[in-house]
Amino acid sequence: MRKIVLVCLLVVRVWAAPAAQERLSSELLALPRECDNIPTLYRGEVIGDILTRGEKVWFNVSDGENVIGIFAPRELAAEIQITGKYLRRGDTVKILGEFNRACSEHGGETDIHAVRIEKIAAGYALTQPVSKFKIVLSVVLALGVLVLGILDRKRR
Amino acid sequence: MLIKPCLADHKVVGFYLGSILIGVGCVMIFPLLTALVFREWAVLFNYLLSGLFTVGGGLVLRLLCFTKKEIDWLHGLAIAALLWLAAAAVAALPFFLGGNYGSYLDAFFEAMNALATAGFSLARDLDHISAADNMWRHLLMFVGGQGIVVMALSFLMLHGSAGFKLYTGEAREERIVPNIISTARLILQISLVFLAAGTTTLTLILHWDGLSWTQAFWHGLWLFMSGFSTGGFAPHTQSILYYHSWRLELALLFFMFLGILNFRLHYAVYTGNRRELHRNIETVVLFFSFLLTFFLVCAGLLYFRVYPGLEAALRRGIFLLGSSHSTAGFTTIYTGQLFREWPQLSLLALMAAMAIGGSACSTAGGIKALRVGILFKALRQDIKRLLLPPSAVVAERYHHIKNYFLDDKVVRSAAIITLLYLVVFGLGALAGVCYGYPFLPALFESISAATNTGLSCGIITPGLPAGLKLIYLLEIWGGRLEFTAVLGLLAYGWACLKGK
Repeated sequence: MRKIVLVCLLVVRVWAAPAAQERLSSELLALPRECDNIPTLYRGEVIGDILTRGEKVWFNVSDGENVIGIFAPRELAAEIQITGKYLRRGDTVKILGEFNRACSEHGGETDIHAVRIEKIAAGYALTQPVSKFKIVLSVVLALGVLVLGILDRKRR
Repeated sequence: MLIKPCLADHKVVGFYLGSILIGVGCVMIFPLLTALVFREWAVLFNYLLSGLFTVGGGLVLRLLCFTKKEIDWLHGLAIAALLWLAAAAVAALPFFLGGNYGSYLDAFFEAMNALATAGFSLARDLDHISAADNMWRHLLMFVGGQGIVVMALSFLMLHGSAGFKLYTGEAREERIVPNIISTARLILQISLVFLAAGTTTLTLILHWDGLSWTQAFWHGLWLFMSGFSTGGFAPHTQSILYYHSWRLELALLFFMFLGILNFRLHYAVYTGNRRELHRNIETVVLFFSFLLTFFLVCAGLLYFRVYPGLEAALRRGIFLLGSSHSTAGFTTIYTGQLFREWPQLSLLALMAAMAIGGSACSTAGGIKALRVGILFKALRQDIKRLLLPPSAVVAERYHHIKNYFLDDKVVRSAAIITLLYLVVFGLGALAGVCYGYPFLPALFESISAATNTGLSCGIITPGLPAGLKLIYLLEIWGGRLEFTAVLGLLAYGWACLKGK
């Protein structure tokens, strides 16, 4: 019950505040005290893993310069399907939430407590074809190493 | 008279270099298998090519330089210094072929940082690199943390006196047991036991904190390899901040603490000598230096109200201090926050902690607690000499597994290495200032590089000028070998030029 009230208060605070300004991570980290505890819009690619902690989740969003941790209710993050990894571009999301320079709830961490998450682009897979040149070169090198190995063994 | 090394001497250097390079090439089987597991086919061929090239290069060196000549001390030092450069050069190949680094220099920088357990990264997009590359980055740290020569000795690629000379060249003077090969194997065994236990612990914690079992295992393995080796690489750009977990921070602090302890101490405790933990000069120095720097870090953070409460200040302060003192370089704050938000008092304490570092014969870098302890004992001895009558005999002792009398030779050796570190800290800072960076951040980065910590205040980025990258590389390389092998290599080169 207490948690629900806290979330509602946060939602009211964010919605009642002046329109949230969209900020880059570099701005947030360069002017942390100015941006502290104010509603912020932050946009970027979800990378890595969604870390579930009870009814809440943690995930990390990269805007290309820095990655900022987002703390959100589980149901808000349900829309995120694809996270960025090797050969995979994660969903691009727009986060509305409160930026904390040093969050008192999370041991002084710099984070954003999200109250709204909007998926603005779906993630997608990337391809990296295997170079034929590398395959041929590997075979040639393997043969060379074999010959050298035999010569070394004979010399010993 | 300076004797010019002849062809036979160069052959000794080439032969041993080639032998160990074959080993480095064989280690590439691990990232190759990782690529196979994760079906990263393009990356798999990067490791296959690099591995074959390295083994082939090693075999060519062995064949061209085949010799049965005995290795001498200067050879040992020159080989150890060249070996770390050559190993980084070949270890950089898969990074470069992967295309995640701006240039070969950046890939070389990454490989040297991994091997020397420094931990600065110049990867362009760490959050999208392959699992095989992550495996290679962290494995290099594990190998480098124990020592390339230690690994070669463990797998019988080196023998007897040659092994001991190379072992000493790699900034390892202490033996756990009289036999050098047994010593190397004990170091490896201790590390492997901790690897198994540490990976299991971290896997459980990470799964508890929301990662799937598979991801928890790989991240646990990589973080342990990096933490115990006091390296500081992590699979993501945010370092430990990625996991948002106090449990993980606590576990890593413990593993970093294990990493900074002398392998002789681990063995002593294992064989039942637990009193050594509080009697050893190194643990005593580490305890007091941690206590003092902890007080300074927290005083700064609390007085200037950097964090909203005591809990937050302690959590950030202790982790960063532990990471600095162990020379690991993990972080739980953003790079820029160090100089924007942390007070100078706390930063100075972090720099002092990095400079002292861990124990001798451990995976940590820095001046080392043993040397600091010896210098304090020498200072105390001199003060006693001043206070007591001239005829009084002043003897100072220290306990390091056994009791030793402090003699001038030991003090001189400790003082020279300490002086070399201080000079390198200063020169590195001067180079940073010449490139236009403010003095304090330049000094911070220089200390972090020379002590192989890898904690950055934002100077070392992919956009760093190439000249400064080279200077930091020299600091990292020299710091890892405690400058002795580098001086040996310079002496070898000088003898080649000026000898008769």
